Amino acid sequence: MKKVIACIVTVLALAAVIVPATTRAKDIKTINASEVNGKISVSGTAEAGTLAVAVMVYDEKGSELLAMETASVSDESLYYAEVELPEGTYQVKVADYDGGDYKTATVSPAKKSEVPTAPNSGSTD
Amino acid sequence: MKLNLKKLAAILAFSASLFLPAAAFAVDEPGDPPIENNFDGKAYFVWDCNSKVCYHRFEDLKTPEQEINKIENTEITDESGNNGTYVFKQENANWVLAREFADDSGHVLDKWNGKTAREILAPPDDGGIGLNPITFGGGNNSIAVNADWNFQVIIYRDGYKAITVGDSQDDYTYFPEKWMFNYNYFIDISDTSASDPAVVTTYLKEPTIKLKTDGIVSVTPLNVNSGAVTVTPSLNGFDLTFNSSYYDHVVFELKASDGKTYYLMVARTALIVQENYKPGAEPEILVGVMYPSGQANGDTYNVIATVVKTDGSKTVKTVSSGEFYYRVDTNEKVSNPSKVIECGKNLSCSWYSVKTGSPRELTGAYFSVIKNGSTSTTYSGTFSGSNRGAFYDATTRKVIYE
Repeated sequence: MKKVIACIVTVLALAAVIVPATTRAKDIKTINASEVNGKISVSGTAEAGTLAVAVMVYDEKGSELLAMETASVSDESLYYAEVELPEGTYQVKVADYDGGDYKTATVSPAKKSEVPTAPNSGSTD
Repeated sequence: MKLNLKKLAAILAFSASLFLPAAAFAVDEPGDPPIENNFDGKAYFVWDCNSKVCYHRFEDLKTPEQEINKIENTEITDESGNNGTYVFKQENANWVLAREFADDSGHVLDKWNGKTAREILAPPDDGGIGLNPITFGGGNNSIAVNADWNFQVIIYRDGYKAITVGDSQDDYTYFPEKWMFNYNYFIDISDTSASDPAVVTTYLKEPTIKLKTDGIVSVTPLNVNSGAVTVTPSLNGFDLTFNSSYYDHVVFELKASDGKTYYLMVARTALIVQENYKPGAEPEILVGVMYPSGQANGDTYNVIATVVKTDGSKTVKTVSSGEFYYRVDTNEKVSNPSKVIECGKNLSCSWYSVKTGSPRELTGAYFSVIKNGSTSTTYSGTFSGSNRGAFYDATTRKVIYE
C-alpha cells in the first residue's frame, strides 16, 4: 500500500512539474459603453484575478470588426478603454485578454438635444 | 558569451535566404556576420583631437564568441604624441584593425600619414578603414559597438552601472535569430529615470527573464496590476516572470544598497515588421509573427491591423497568414504552403501581408495578433499586443510598442 501511495505522490509531483499551469479564462462581470465627445468609452468590472481584457468594436450587426483595443485591469478588477470611431451604432464586446466569453453592449449616438448632460450608455448583457 | 559563431552564421546564412533584411527592432541592422572570425585581438581606437589624429592600441581584445570587451574611457590614452584626450561619445572616433593601421612594431603605415581622423575612419568604400560601428546597446555612460563582427566592446565612463540580463543565449528558452549577433547582455542602467529607463528587449513568451544584479536589493514593477509580474529573488539577482502577454513594456524600479535608484524597461515582442514597397507591386507591410516552434502554424493566428492614413482615417483589417516568404537576394516572393519558417531558437515564424495603399498616404499601422476561432459569443484569445497594438511608424520605419 505504501508503494502505491508513493507512486501516486510521485506521479502527482511529476505532473505538477511537467504539466504547464493552465489558467481558466476569467469572466467579464459588467460592461458599460457610451459615446462621449466622439469617443466610445468602455468600462466595467472583471472577475478577480483578471490581468487584461480585449475590447472589440463591431458594426451595428456585429459582423464587421471596426476597432480593437486591449486594456489592463486594475487590482480592483476595473477596466477602461477608449475607441475613436465616427458617431454611429456599434456592438462593443469585451472578453478576457487570453480568451473567454464576451460581454456585449450596444452604443448609439447620444441624443444631445434631449439629454444634454448624460452620455448614452450601452446595456449590460 | 557562449556563442558559436560558425553555427550561428550558418543559421543566419540560411535564414537570410528566406527573409528580407529590414527588420524593425530597436537595434541597428547587423549586416553580414563573418563565417569565420580571424580577428587577432589587435585594434586601434582612433579619434580626432583638435584636427589631429590620436590613437590607442589594444592588444588582447576578445572575439564575440569569447566575451564582450569592457574598457573604461580612462584607458584610452593617446599614444600618437599629439597629447590628445578622448572625449566620451565625441564624433570622429572609432575602431580600426591594427593590421590595417600600423605595422607589427606599432608604426602607423605611411599611407595614413597626413590623413585626418575622419578620412582614416571612413568606411572602406570611401577609402578609410573604419569598422562598421554597429551599435548593440550602450546607455547614458557607455557605448557598445560590434566593430564589424570582429569584436564587441563597451566603452564606459565613471558613473556606469550595469546589470546582466541573461549572460548567455542559453539562459533563454526562445531567442530570435535577428538578435543573435547584436546581443548585449550588459544593460547600462546608470542615470535612468522612470520616464527614461534603460531598455532590454526579450521575446514575448520567454517564461522567465533572469537579471544578475550586483548591489540591487529590490526590483519592483511600476504601474501594473499586482499580478502582472512575479519577481523572485535568485542566487545572483532576480527572476522576472510575466503572467500576461498584455504587459509587454513594463518599467521596473531597481533600488540599490547604496540608496540609489535605477529604472529598467523590459520590452517584450513577438513581431518582425518590414515594408515591401517596390514598383509594380501593391504596397504592403509584412508582419512576421514569431511563436514557439511546434505549438502553432500560420493558421493559428490572425493579425488585426489598423491602418492609419495621413488624413486621419483608420481601417481595420483581419489578415490571415500568407503562403509565402521572400528571398533576400532577389526579393522574390516564394511559395511556402506550410506557412512556417524557423526563425530562431525554438521559434517559428509565419508571415502576414497587410495591404496599405500608397505609402505617401500612410502614417503607419497598429498590429495585434489574435488566435483564430473566435465566435460571436466567445473570444479565442490574444497572442500579442497591448492597447491598440504595436505601431509601425511609416515615417521612421520603426516599431513603437505602446
